[in-house]
Amino acid sequence: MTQWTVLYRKEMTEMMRNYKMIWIPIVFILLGVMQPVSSYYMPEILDTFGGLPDGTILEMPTPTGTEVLMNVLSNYGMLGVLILVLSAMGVVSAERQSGVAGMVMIRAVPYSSYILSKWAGLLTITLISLFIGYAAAWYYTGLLIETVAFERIFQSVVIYSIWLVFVVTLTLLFSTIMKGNGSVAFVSIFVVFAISTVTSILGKYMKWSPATMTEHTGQVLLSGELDSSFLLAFITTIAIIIFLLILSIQIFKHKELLE
Amino acid sequence: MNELLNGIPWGAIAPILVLQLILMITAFVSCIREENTNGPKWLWILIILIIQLIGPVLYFVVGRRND
Repeated sequence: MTQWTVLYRKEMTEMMRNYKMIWIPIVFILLGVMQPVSSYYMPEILDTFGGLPDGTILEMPTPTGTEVLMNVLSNYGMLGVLILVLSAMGVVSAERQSGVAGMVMIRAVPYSSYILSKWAGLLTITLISLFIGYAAAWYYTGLLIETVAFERIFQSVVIYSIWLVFVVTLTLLFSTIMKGNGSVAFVSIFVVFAISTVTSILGKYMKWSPATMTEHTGQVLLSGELDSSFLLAFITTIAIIIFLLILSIQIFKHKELLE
Repeated sequence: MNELLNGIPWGAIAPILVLQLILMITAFVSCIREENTNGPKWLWILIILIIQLIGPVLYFVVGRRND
């Protein structure tokens, strides 16, 4: 266990050193805050820059607080996922190429400790960014539009974080399998969006899919109640995450032994 | 112009500007200290300083060599 702690600490200091601990949370905050601000000022923005002829009357319904927050989460689903995948793509593959991984493994570190410390590091940055950014979005929504009940925010962010954890775990797996950073990012993003698309097309048969987490998040935000299929999706998602981790460890072990 | 400036609620906007500034400075410092960036360094500095928000993010994602 102590070895794991050392590796995790190393992971954290590295993230401080390459500024990931600073820029990813800031980007999440900005992404979250832009949404309430821009929906609040939309009439004025159109007025000033829209080039509409004088006297045009635009009926713009002000979105409700929950709608704004749903938009924030869908921004996280696109840009947030992109940023997380791009920042996590080299997590194992780059270390393997630069030889750092080999140097660590020489010290008889268990393969599982290595992968799990990487995973914990990714989880830390993901959850910190999501929670801080979403809290900022909630604060701004309350300030500019309307207050949304805290427990709905809390429930929705917890459910949403499961989806992001799934995405990050998938990236970790591809980072152990493949060599180039670019291909890791490309395949991860492709798979994530493929899962989302298939789930939304075949919604009926995919109630277990991890991608339904985003739908459940919206559901909780809007009504405060969970769909009955949530438990199924939750269990399969956790199971898939554990399976992906075990797979990563096995593949990593296999590859290291070959070299 | 003055009216336009006074109409902006600085309490809400100022934190956003400060965060963007922090992001820009972090990227700038990181870029200066990086020995070999992916592509010419002066170009990255320009990108970071000129393009708001996207510039620093782009630098962090593709500009740094993964060490």
